[in-house]
Amino acid sequence: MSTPTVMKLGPVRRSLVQLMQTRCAQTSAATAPEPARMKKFAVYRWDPEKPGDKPKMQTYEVDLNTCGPMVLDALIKIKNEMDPTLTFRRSCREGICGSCSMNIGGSNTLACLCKIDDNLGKATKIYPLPHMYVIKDLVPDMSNFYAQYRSIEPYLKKKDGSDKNIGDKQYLQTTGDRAKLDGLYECILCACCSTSCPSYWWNSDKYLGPAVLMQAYRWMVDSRDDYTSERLFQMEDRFSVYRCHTIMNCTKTCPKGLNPGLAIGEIKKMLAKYNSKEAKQLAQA
Amino acid sequence: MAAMIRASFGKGSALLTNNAALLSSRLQPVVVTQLSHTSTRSQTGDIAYKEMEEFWEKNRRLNRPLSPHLRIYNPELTSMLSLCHRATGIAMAVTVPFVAATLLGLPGDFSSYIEYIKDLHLNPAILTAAKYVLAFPICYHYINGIRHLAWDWAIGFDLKTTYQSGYFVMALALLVTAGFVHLL
Repeated sequence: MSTPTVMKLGPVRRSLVQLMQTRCAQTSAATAPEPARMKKFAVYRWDPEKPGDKPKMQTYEVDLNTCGPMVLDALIKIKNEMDPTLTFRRSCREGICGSCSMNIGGSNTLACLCKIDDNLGKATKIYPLPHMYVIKDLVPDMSNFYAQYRSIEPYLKKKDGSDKNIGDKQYLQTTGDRAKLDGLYECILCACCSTSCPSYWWNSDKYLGPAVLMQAYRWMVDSRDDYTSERLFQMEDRFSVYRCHTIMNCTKTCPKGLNPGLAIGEIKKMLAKYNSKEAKQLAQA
Repeated sequence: MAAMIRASFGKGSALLTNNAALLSSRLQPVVVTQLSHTSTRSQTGDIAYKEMEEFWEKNRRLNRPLSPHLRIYNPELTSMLSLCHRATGIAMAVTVPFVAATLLGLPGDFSSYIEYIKDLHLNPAILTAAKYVLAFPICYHYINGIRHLAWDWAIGFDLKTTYQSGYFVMALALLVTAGFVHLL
């Protein structure tokens, strides 16, 4: 419609027509093609089903203009459009489940929270979590990690009352005591920290690793839990805690911004101060 | 090892289990019974240690590859400073006793060897470089040692302080080394 015709319409119809004309102009301008921004991704591949297959790197090129901003978006795009055999763990796509932890650009992080580096000249290198047995491509065997978590008994343990009293009353806790759990309970057990620790690389059978130790500390410091001394006594050997040499790779790499190094330091302090003879008697009772 | 087991027989079964498990742990890298104070372990702990054993057994049997670690991980300030601390520590722990023992055995005293090095008339740049190499381990290990002592009291563990103290320690160590080399 030409402008003179439009101006002759009543106010309501005129505004509607003007809106439609603006919208049409906008959409026609947006469909002009942008130059493709191709980014290379070098991904670790290994297939257990192929006999004699050796782990190798495979490079994929992704147009960043048609891809979401995070590395996980790129991996999903590769799997959907280029190579359906690419295998990786993923679930929430928002950094809360801990499934997509992997080594991107040399650091352990969550793929769904890691922005793709815009520098088109460099390839982004993607490896599975370091020093873990590989099940396939980017999927490591996490059973040892989970077993270590189970071994610290990550649940509330009370001394008084029998089982039939459970649930009758709330376990009260002051705000100060609740604040002690901040920075500890948010751990999503993604294993980025433990697999960034060189000490855990060399001793993953005996050393518990920063993630599990931070959760052990979380239960030690919970005012509602009655088994603090026994939990500390469980750590009284050369390997469970004391393989930590304060390298601090864990705190550097945590994708949730938590501080496992601090938790381990506090455990060491508690181990120095608590009454171990009393704990031993309690534990063996 | 056998003598240890015989000797500990009288001390009770817990110790025997520990030693036997120590033996088995040398043969395969399995944690299990050695560390977990078997008499105090709960049912959850038992399940956990069984899972760990199964993990090692299964992965060895399937011959799965280990994901790359040293060659792909970013060198961070945290790990590099820690490595430097360890390297300087080992270097000093090896060279100081070695040099001391050698000097004990060799004829002549310390000043005669200094005279000998002076008579070689080496390029002063080489001598200065050698002085840097000798002074840096002590300075760095000492100053980073103070940082480690602070960590033992759980002071300065947050990431920002760790990085700030790391840069500070490295800068101060280099400064003190330069001070030792050029001023003393």
